Amino acid sequence: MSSLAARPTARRLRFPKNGGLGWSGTALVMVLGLVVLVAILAPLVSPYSPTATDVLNVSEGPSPSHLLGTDTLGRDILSRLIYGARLSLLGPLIVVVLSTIGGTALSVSSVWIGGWYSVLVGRVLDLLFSVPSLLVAILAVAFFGAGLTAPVIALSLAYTPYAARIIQSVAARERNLPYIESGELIGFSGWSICLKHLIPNVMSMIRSQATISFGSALLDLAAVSFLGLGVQPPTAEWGLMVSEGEPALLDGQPSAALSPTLTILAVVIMVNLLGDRFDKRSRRLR
Amino acid sequence: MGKSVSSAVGTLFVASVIIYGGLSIAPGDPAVALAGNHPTTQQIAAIRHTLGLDQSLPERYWQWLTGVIQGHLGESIQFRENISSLLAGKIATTFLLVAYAFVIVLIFGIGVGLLPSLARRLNGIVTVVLSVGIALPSFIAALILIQVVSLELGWLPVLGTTGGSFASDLKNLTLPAFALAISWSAYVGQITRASIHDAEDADHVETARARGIRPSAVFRRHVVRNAAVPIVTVSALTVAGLVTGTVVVETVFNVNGIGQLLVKSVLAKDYNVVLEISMIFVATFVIATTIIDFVQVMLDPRMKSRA
Repeated sequence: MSSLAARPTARRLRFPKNGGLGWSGTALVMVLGLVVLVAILAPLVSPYSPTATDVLNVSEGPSPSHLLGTDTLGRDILSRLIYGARLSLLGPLIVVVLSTIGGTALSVSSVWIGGWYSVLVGRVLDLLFSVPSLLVAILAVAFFGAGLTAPVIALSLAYTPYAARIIQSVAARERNLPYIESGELIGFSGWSICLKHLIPNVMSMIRSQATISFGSALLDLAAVSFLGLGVQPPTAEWGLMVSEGEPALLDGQPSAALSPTLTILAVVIMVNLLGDRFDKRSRRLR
Repeated sequence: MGKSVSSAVGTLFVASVIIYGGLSIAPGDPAVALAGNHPTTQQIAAIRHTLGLDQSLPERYWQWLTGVIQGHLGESIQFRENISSLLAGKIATTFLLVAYAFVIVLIFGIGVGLLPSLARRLNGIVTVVLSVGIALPSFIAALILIQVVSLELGWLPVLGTTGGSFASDLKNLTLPAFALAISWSAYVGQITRASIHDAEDADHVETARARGIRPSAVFRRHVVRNAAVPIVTVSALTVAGLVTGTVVVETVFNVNGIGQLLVKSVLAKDYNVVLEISMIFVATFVIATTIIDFVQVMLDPRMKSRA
């Protein structure tokens, strides 16, 4: 094969130091890392408790003591944003981990086993595709009651076909490459070839897919909470904060609604840009 | 043709079995909820009987299915009203909202997506607009629109009240429609831009240019025709997304449609209504994908052999 003849040396295969993301990608990773760090260290960095009410300063605009103002119950908006980051980021993270594992397992096994099994997987994925993710989340709430658990499980299920479709197309191409056949001829088990060789080789695709799903999962979960079907008051969560802030917005006090709104927007845009970077990089690698 | 229709019906059937089954075994007894305070066991049993809850699950499903096919959608537990009459007006409202949003998606999505190929300078700004647009879910777009267009500029009302004249309905639904349409417009815009870009790079387009064919003719005959398939496919899928999106937008703007009714019914555990609205949503998606199959073959006859 010509590709073997043109094989680059090990030295040239080494990735650039910052993972090939470029300065803007590195900056995105750092800013998002900072957001995660703030969420983890919430008790240390937030100025107030997220549920403490200050009855003397209700629905106030930004001031030195409350940098983003207070909501209708007099709670500090900045503190609620910081604490809210925990559930608002944890939910989508679980969705992405579960759906990526599920999608990888389904797609790789269907590529590997083929035959009637891959037809069955295809049918199940088609069916899952036909139910919109937000509807799945809402139905799960109808079933299990409001809360974070039901929508997270439902969205994990609803996102699985998207992950599976994209990974499947790459895995199918990979399956036909000579190194997989060599592994089989040497006598490696299917498990070992899939786990040690096939999946690592499609990992860059899996990662870009997972990053982009994180943004949509964050938006979907925020929408569920916004509808009152997800996280319940007085817990701090961005989607819920938007809906709690809506009455104040109509009364001319926009900070309670617009602060979480802009936070969600900023995080999702950064995550999507990072996903684009990963995506471009995974295409460049093949 | 028959094949995609039968697979559409199959998908609808399986989805209805799963949703019906899921909602039936959900915790919480609607009979208890209906019976009010301190019901006796006999009262509950009587209500269970009237609702048909004392029958087995397959029996109930069969009755529901035959009923729906004949146009009997059953009763809403929360409103004690026939679901057909409950839904009738609301479907019309939601349809108007979705149609309005779809027109916006087509005009802005395809329009913005075409801009870079008409004027290369705009590529950078289009990229920014599209990536912000995609990250703007309807509830966030809604709040920003309310803040800017309603509260600061005072151009349009905050509430999406309908039921007046057609013109006033349209006016009141303008903000909800834009809130619903923004992220889908950006999505269609990205697909349009990418498809046009790919089509412009094709060898035959270069050949056509080299032959000296007028640029507008090259664009019309060679670029647009090749880019049309993905653009039409994604636009049609948008309809299904828009219908589901009404759940959020109708709640924000208090639009009296089936999206808002779905949220209310979930909270009230009114499972008959939840089931039927869910099926409307799934059906929209299935119908949209079936239509896409036909349109794809019309636009690109090569698809026929593949399908």
